[in-house]
Amino acid sequence: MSNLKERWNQVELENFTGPLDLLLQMIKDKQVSILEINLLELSNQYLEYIKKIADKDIELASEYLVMAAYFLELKSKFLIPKEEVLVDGDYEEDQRKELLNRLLEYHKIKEVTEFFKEQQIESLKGLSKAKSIIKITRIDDEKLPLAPNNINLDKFSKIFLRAIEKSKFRTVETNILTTTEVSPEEIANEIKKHLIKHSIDKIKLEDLIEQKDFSLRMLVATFMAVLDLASKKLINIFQEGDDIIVENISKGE
Amino acid sequence: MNFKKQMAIVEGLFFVNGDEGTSIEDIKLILEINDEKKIVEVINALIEKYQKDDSCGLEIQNFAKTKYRMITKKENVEFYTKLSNIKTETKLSTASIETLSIIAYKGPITRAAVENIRGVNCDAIFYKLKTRNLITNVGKSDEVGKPSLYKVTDSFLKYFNLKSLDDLPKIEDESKNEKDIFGR
Repeated sequence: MSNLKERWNQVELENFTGPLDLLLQMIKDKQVSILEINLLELSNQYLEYIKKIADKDIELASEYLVMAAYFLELKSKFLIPKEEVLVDGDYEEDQRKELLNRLLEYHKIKEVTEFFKEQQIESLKGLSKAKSIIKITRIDDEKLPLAPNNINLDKFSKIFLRAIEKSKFRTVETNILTTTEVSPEEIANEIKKHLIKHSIDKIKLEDLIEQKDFSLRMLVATFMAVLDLASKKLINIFQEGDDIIVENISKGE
Repeated sequence: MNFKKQMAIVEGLFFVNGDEGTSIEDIKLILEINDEKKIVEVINALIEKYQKDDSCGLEIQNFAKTKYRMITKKENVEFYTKLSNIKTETKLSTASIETLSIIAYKGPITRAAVENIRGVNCDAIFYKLKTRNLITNVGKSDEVGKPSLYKVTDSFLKYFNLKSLDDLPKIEDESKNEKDIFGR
């Protein structure tokens, strides 16, 4: 036993892929049947390792801690006097079976990992080259199902960022959470009305975002609404220098 | 077009498509031949030619049943690794391989089911395997919460040099396994 313990102390947990891996190795090394395992002793060994690695990697340790807790639970169940659990007489056996099944299942996988490791080594010996680029498929603008892209997307996103920055200064109550639901449809309608009401033909996207309540809180919805209106050909979006212009092309329905 | 010409075109196609691999479908398109048997004949003639020719540094790897890839002959790898600019793929960790083998044998499978077998959280590993395109999401399970189901990809087969999942070693039956672990 002392020999084993010594050996185990040299074992680095990083060598194991998980608590079941370690458990399997423990059982193999002890050369005992799982049905004879002293669960308390096993739990204690586990806890020792956990103490050792907890400083290094708390997340890793937690996985092993869960397993140790599982052993302790199992053990405590076994300690309950038989008479009192007669109604649930098979429980102990079931628990052992469950652990056994998990171990068997895991062991099966462990057995084939060697195959994958060998295949990996073999396969990495054959080097290949990246696919050659022959031509870049170009689709004529007319054939594209989308409107021609006349907007620089980087600039587009910068405008939105700028709008966010601006609204930050304007809004004092940024830490108040409101849960008003906004739908892009509603906003799209509002934008439409707004454009018609003020007979706006062209407006900078930036300015539009800052109008009314189209800002920050509803930024995503506003963004989608603008895109939605564009896809319905009610507005046109294009770039002019550093600005994105929204053009009202609806016939004032 | 005669057979030799077809071989030459397919050889060139293997070169052009490189790492991505060439499928029989690709060759059908390029050669304008619909007969799969004829195409397989052309490919096999090429594979044989490469094998026979000792002065040839290339070979054709067949993976995922109907896909092919031109690679350097494996026995020469030591020479190429002398080059400092060779970007060798990072080998998969044991944990990744364990996770992959579970998905290969049991897929489509949920992450929770894999975690149950391994006894460890596999979040990060799943992310890595997805990024490397070794596993892919193939829909939702009917279980509570509709978790995603995963299976291995053609890239997985390419990576491990497998024609199909039928090439995986059979998992031994349980009774024999039991003896193996616990009978020592």
